[in-house]
Amino acid sequence: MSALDRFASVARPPVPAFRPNTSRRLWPQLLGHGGFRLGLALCMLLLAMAILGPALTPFEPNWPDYAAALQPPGASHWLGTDATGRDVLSRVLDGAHRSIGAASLVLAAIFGIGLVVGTLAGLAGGWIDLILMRLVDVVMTLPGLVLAIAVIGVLGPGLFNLLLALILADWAYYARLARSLTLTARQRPDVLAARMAGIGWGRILFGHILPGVALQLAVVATLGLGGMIAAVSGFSFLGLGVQPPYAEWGAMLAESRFYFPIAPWLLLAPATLIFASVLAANLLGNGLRDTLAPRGRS
Amino acid sequence: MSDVLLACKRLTIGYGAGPTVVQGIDLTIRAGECLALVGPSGSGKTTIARAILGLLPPGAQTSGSLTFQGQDVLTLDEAALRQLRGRAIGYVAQDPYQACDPLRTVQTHVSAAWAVHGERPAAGVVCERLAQAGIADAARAIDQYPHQWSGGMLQRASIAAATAHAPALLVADEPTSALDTDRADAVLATLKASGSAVLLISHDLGLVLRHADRIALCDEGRILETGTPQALSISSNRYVQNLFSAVGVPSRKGREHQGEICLSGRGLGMRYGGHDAISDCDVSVYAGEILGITGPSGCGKSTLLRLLGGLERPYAGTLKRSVALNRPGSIMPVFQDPVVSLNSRWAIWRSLTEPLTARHLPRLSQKQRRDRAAAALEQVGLGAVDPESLPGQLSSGQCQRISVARATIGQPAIILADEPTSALDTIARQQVLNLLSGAALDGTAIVLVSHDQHMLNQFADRVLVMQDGRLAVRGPFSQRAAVARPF
Repeated sequence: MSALDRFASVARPPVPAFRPNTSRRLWPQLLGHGGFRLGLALCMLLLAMAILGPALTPFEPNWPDYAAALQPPGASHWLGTDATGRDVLSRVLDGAHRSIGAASLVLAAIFGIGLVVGTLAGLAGGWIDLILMRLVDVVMTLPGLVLAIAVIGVLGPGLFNLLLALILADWAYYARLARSLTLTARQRPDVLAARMAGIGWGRILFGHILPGVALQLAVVATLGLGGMIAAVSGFSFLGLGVQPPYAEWGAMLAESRFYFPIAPWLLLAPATLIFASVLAANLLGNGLRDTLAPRGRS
Repeated sequence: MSDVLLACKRLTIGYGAGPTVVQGIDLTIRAGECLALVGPSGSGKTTIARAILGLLPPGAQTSGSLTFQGQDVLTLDEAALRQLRGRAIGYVAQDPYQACDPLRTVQTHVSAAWAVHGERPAAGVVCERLAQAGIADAARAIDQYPHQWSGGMLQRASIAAATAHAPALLVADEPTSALDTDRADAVLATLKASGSAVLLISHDLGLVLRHADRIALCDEGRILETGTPQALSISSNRYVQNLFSAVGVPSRKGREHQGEICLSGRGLGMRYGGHDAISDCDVSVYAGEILGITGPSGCGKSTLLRLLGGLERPYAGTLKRSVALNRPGSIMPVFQDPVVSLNSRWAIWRSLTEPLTARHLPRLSQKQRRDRAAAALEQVGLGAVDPESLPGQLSSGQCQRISVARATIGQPAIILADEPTSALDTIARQQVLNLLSGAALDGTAIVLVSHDQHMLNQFADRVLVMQDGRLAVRGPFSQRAAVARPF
């Protein structure tokens, strides 16, 4: 290419971009990120476990067998058995969909509520914005843990109530974030140009504003997934989530902690899996954040 | 030669596996001269400046030599470089406000030039230096904070700080791009008056021609040609000829516009949080004219455009639109930053034809839209650009031409252009101005906001000057129009 062409910005075929664009070349970029690859592999593994786990259990996960109580890992029970003789491997596999599924469900709900409330408040402005944001303020002044425990206290323990409690405690943060992203997007030149051209708000919302806001919110949600998995397990550990005899990793930890001196293997599998899922979620989130960060656009 | 201050020989700089940013350049700066390094963004200018200051980022690979006063800067260690910086080589940053800590007074910033070398300026020296740099009433202003100073004053204070130890060389990286044109000239005059040799880095050839002793044109990491402005202006290099012919502004003097008033505002006012952004503005826009609006940063130019464009309702006054302006899309904008003014996720054909998809217009198929986009690209001289490309794959000049195409595709009555050329290099600037001029010939009124008064005086039919939210003084061309058409 001659110098003239470059200086004159004369018509030329697209050159390798100075600014990697976000939509079309996202996957190659993400897959080039080592941490993201590791996180993705871990995530696939855990997801497969959550989906296929209940079908692969070698033993009935909730069936006690007192004759085989507290057996160490061996040929028939690969990860040993617990105090009532239930197979740990079966319970870990069976619990996967409760731990991971619950966290993903909560996050999806929070993401959806936050996105709708936040973009609505940001776009509508005026009294709608005022009411929604004061509501957000109220929720945000209450500590999340306290609010969740209060909700469970009123509704009673159980997986469904736990999900509800976590959603109620955490949606406000995402709504606030979505609103501020929307307010920024509203003032973007491409949005102003669309408004002046007479494009309706609906098309501006879905064409210009929502894709960017949703993507940024999704990055935050992925970063929050690890914490959410830990929260679901934590509440179940406290006995506020999944109820016996059903298996869930946090609940399994709670049940086995009394036997730690004589049967430490009981803690190993659920703890490792909780650790692995938090790690996977954080690796994915970091990868997304690194790739989509403004650095890529400068 | 004994008076050679700085000499680069086959200097090459690259970053890791990335592209080689500077490719074997030869450059000399003599004592006391002002050498301007001119080129488009991404041509390696800033990298050269950083190499001279020994401020290349870690991981940069260099070869060749860069000799300053007999020592090779590339091989010096950090301690030796610290002795060099400030004492022998001064640096003036692009944006004086960003270069200053808003919580500290101007005095602190200027005295820092001594403090970093463990010295304390003698009483009154800071004041004296500021006065030399052209700051009136320096003794009082010195205790103010950066935001209380204008950009031009603050940049002159930066120059006073950079020349504190009378360095042999001053490196100024786009020292005026954050300033208005008249202030830019004053700042460059101060820079040259310091007595040091100056390496002036700029993308604005017009500005440089008024000040530099010699000019080095660079592109893609190479120096294309070096010489005095006179020598370069008669260069046989076709590229250099092209560049020089683009310095001027397409002149429209003598053109009489016969249009009707299509938009008129009387007593317009706008208020944000108790502060009047603009007040009592009378503006009228005639069909087919180019109306320039100029004024210092923060004077309310952009607010006025938002009111004219209907993006906000005026707090005071009335805005009357002609019948032609009743349909949506009859007023279209062109913005300052070309790249973000197009949706970064959309192929350019989609952004370009978006105005054709407005509610009141007949529905077009995707194929029709692509065809219209291809035709529009042809019109702005971008026929070879793939309509499927994304804004990030194009240069800023190309993006700005697409923005103009988007503004004109729905045949608007008025185009509001807010600093449409300030982010562009010389040639791209002229191309965009030509497009706007063409649109005006087709009967579209252009309201052009810019802080470049040289450009407006040549390009616009009328110029309004804005000051502190009021349309204060009228520029030379406005008088002609005002007499011809009292409103």
